[in-house]
Amino acid sequence: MTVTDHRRAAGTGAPRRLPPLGRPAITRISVITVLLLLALFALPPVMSLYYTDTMTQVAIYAIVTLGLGVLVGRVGLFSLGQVAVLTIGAWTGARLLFATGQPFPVVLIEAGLVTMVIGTLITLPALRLRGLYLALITLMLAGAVTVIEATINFPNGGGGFSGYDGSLTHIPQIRRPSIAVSDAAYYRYAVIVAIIMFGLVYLHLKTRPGRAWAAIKQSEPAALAAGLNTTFYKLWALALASFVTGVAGALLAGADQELFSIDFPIQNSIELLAVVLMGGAYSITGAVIAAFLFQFLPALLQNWGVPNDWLIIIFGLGVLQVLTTAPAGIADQMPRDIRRLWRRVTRKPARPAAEGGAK
Amino acid sequence: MNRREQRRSSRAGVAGAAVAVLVAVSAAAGCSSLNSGSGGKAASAPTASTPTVSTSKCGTKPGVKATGSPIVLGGITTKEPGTDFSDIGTTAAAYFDCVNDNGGINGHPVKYYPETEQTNPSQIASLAHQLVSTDHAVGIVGSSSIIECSVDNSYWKKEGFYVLGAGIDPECWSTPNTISVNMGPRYSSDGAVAHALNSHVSKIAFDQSNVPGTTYIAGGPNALAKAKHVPIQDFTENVPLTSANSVAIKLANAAGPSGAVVLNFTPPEALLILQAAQKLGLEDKVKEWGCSTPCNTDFLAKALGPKWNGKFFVNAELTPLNGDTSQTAGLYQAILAKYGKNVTGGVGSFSQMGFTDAEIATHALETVKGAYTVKSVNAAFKNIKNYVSGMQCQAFTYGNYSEHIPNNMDYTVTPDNGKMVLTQGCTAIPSVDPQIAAYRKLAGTAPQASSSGSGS
Repeated sequence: MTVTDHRRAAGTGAPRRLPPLGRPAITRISVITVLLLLALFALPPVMSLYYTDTMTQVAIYAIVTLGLGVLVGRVGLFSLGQVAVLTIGAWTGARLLFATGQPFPVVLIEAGLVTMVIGTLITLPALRLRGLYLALITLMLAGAVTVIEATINFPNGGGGFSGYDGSLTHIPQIRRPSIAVSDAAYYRYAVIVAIIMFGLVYLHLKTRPGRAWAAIKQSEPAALAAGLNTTFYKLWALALASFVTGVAGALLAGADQELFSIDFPIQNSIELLAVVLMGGAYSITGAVIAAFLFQFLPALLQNWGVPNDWLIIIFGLGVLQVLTTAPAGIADQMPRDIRRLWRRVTRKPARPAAEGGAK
Repeated sequence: MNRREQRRSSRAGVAGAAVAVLVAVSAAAGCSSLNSGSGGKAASAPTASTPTVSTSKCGTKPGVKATGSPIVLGGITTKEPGTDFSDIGTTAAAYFDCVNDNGGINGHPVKYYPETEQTNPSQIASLAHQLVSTDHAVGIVGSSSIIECSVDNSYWKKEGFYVLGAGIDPECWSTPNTISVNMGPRYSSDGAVAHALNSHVSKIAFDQSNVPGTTYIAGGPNALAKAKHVPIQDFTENVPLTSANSVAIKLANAAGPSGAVVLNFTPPEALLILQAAQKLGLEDKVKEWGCSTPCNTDFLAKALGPKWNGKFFVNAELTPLNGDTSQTAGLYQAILAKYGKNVTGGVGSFSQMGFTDAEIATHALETVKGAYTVKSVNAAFKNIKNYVSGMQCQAFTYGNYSEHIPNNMDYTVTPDNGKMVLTQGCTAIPSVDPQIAAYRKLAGTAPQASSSGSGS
């Protein structure tokens, strides 16, 4: 890639007009719209409460995997600290919901902002690192947050800064928005918040920061040489990922209504990165698939009587599969496989294999 | 960099990260298996005696399979690496299998769903919803989870369920619609501290793992020590422990030569502290070492060795099985032998709790006249009064109380050459614990010891 290419990628060249929507794009938008309408209106009446709860978690964790996808897939920052960031968001959301009577959306934004500041600050020293070292440092940070969290505990309606009272025998529930008190209503609420967060990230990806991240991911020295402030854009990515994860944390507080420090083990950070790699870190669809793997698959296995312990093996094998056959994850592999299958069914001669990889 | 190189570079990045993730996943799995070790289970107290009681005793029509419409019950237990209470659910399932093979309950078989969770509030709430709305469970029996009582309590209340389980978190003892056959961490710690106080120690160092509700748990031991004018110092540790040596030294120093150290940990963590104390020669530096009920396992007695005989005293909230020849103990072992293939820990405290839950539930269900609905079944549970199970010191009553601590009399055991043996019989937990006092006032009964073994 030339210097001019990098400038163009970062949006510092002449403004470009968005290309007109082609048939595939219109099809994709139509499919997404239909799926969202189904998720919002058709699913809740037919789902059991078990799956309503599960799908609420899928919606929430889709935001978390989206944030991690931005870091991993767009900027190339392999973070194992995203569950710690989620913990901070959940703690902040719970504290604000117990301490104030603010509207729920305001609390979501506040939790996102607080998490954005803390999440960015704690990962700031890690900006000079990449790859395995960054993963290790962020895992240590996650461990540190877990220890702090275990010490101060989650708010449970107590007073003081921590809002925790260990002597309580009746723990009040974290409140939900008045329009979404029931489980089905809260599921819809979570889906709508997830759509907004996906929209926010999509806007970033399609504008200057997205192009800058692409340039940094391809070659940081080249991006620097092209005049990009790589530190600034990496910070931006961290801030965005922390913000959406913080919002997801506050949303989780409302979904669970009671939070405990033991709910966020360090192991979750590793599993989260595993499912993001499996789902596809390079695409937005991958974030949704990753959330299904992280939340829906365990619920399904539970329903089939398969012990959840097997998940760690499944995820291990999944990462291995991604490593060997589909670097861009299921989001990339599945459409290709479906196309291949379709060609076989319709007996059309196969074209030379299209290149996979990052979208 | 051309496109192919970019792809190669990208793949290398992904490969590096994926390998890192694989290594980390493997490490995590390894850690988990280490943690599970003896599993946080108080589950290995095998008795030498062969069961002498026939399993036909668990039903009213021996040898006749129940064929009526099923009575659907369910329970939720924690099962994750390092913390596994699932033997409570699987033993309850074994008991109901036995009941079903011997006439069922008024001709109805019990269909029991033992669900497991991984201390995840959303999962726990989902499972409760599944049991009620999908499986159509009419009763909840054999639940035992670190946070289930807190998470599901308002749901059970809303749906009209009176849960019969084995509790851990504070809400399991402080709500009208949940009752536990065990004593749980607070009252079990009370028992261990009471034993130390009766040994006339001059100070107590009370240490527990840093889990939700530590202040609530410490409230009991502190009240007991205060009533005897004995100073008590509370500690909490983040688990898994990173330096058992420093914890052991800290506790021995805090207690002093005429004091006592009382622990409230799962067996693997307690063992780490006790082994560290042994390695450092601290076992004789304090007058007495004590522990709440999780330490009541022969695994711990074997691992510690003879130096701790008569030095280490453990609260036992259910009847110790070593040497127990009662009918209830016999039936319990017979059921485990014939139906307990899924009870991974075998004979032990957790399977005792599952047995007791199922035994009491069966007794209650037999009193139902007419259809088995949520209303009738839970009314029957609520009406349980003075039921004598050989597994507990005292008769069991559910009742219409705002809180329930039906098991408030304990035993004390001590290691003796690789086994935990009885050293103190049924002893009431002192009413100076305000929660115990409040319950006894509500229930209107002073604790009365019952002779064990009448069974159902």
